[in-house]
Amino acid sequence: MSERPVVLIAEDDASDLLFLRQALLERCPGIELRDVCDGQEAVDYLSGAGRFADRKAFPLPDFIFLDVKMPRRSGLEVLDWMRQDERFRKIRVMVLSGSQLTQDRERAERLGAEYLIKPIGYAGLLELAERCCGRLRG
Amino acid sequence: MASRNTDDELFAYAGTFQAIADAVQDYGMFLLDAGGRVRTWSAGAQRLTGYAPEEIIGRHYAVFHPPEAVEAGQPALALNLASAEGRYAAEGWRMRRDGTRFWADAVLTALRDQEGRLLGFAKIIRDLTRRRSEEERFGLAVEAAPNAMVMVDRGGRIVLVNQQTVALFGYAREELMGRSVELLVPERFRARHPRYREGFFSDPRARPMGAGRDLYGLRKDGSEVPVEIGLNPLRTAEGDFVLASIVDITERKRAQQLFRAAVESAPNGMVMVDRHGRIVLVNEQAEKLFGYSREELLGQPIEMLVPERFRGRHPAQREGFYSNPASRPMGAGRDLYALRKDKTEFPVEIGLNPIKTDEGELVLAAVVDISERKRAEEEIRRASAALEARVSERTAELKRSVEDLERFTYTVAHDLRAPLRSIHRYSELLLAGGRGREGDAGARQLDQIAAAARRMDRMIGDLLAYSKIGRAETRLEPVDLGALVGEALAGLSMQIQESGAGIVLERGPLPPVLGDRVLLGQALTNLLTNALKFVPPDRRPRVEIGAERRGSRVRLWIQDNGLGIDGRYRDRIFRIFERLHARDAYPGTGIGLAIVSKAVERLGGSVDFESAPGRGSRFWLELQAAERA
Repeated sequence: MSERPVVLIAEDDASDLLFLRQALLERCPGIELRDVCDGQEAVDYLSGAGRFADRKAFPLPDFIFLDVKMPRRSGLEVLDWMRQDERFRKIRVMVLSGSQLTQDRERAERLGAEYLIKPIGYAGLLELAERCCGRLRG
Repeated sequence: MASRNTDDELFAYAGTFQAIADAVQDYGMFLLDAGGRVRTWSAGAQRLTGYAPEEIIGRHYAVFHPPEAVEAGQPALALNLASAEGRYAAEGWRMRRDGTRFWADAVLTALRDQEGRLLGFAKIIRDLTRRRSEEERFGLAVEAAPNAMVMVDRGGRIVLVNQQTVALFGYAREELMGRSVELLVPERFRARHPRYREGFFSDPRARPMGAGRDLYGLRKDGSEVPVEIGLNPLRTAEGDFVLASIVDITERKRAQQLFRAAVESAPNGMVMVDRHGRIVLVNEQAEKLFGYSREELLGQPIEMLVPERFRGRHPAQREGFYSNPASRPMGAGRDLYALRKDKTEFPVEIGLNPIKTDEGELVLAAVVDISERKRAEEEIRRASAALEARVSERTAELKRSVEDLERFTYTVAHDLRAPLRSIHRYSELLLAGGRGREGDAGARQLDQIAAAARRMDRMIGDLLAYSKIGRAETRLEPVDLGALVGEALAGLSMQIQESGAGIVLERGPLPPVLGDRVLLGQALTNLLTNALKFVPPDRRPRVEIGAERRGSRVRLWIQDNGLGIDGRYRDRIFRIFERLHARDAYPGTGIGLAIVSKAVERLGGSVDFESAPGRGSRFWLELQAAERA
């Protein structure tokens, strides 16, 4: 088992993924990053299904970024699904949304996740990465 | 002596006569000689007159007559008549030995020998006193009857009438006695009358005449009178008679006709039914309603007008009505239907009225055809159902379009901003990678690209906020204005710091209002943003905030020292995408005041301002106060 904290990003927008990875690598050295490109893959990854069967290559994450709007399964559906399973109880979740939508925020927070608006500038992304590090340390 | 001879012969009669005379108890029978003296006597005669044989034999039979009759010569006259005719019968008063009188029926029969010589007389006398008094009593009773009474013999001859008859028919008593009773029967019935009379005598029992037929009497003056006639047979020694009791029913007929006319002219179908459920009266409306003629209805059971499926229960329901007869609607709460002759049904409303008559208790039913009303009701029901269907259809459509809008908003919220983030970040990346050096044209252009992306991002954010205000559920609850203002100012701390603005809060706590924290917060933030923003660059912004009660409302005002607004733009500034200033000088999306306006509108409040160009503006929100004044 790796001692390095594992962070999983579920994001379908390649540009968003690229900059978030960049910000995380810049502010959270020593983390191990994995990514999936939609909600269904996130579920497969977490349950070790299909190509994610190898837990060494795809270890259970300590922290997950969930984009709200993704193909096949939305971030909130993935969050719902996770909360049914005791194994994922300790995983911290940050839901990222393009806009402030009250009912989405309420749903995420009810399920014990943070809800944040994707910042337009890179500076905002760096703050977000720092917040993630803080959670991993704390 | 001739008398000797005749006496002997008379005595020869007397032998056999005496034996018969003594055997007959109720008659006095005795013989008189040709001169009228009593020659034989009998037990019956003694019982009638009170004389013993030795007292009377040899005396003239005139002793039996009252003095006035003797004075008038009646006894002698009677002898002469009997002698001449062979027989003389008369009724009259006779005297007993004690002087009392009795009504007698006496017959004198002359007795002659073979040569025709008068031998004497046989006298038979009977006491009719009792019969006479019975007749008198009967006569008096007839006279005292309240109705016209006419006694008629088998041959149709009138033998007795009373004063009421005289009054009713206008004939004097003498004009009627002995005349045929057909005199009192109208011409058109007269021919049939003897046959009816024969019918009565062949089966004589008390009964009403002409059951079911209308009867009329004929007056002396030729006019007719409607009557009711009761017939009573009288069987007497003199033969069979009929005593007719005649009642003038003119008044009753008139009342009946009035009633019929009233029923006939009623606007509803009227049907009268007797105790057995037979129809006894209908009006024209009823004929029209049910399609039967009057003749087809009268005498028929009322159930013929009740649809088959209700018919079984109907007699019991009819009985129920009689157990508590009162005017009331039939079948309270139930839908009633009636059956036409052509077997079609129609909905009705029926009012029941009990009517007491001589013929027993009747029920008058008023029947109203309510087809039209039902049709109208049905129409309304259909129309409202159609309307409801259309409303729910429209609602569904509206719901669909709201859902479409929500999906659209969701897409805008998420997908439209993603490329902006890309544009912005790649511009930054290029700048950071030193592709454009500080101060050169390329760097400036990359900055422009990033700024444009930021502006568009803000615009999308504001649009989303604006569209949400229109749809969000609002909950009116007491809101602490002071706290809300504090939060809004905290959210704007960056701008306040950068602009070096002075914020002045009015002294004292702000009154609470009824509102929605989120909507009010958005409105307040937008107003404060504007107050800080639209200030000439050389002026330090100064914002004053205060509130005051105005009746049941609270006015929250924000005073700035900014550019002010020309009155010309009063109507435009609350519209979405309206801008009064160049974007470069005062950046903004043109949505802020539209958000304010929409938010207070949803809270039942209002927004307004006063301003003069160059001298700042005062905007205020008026909201419902949370506390009574």
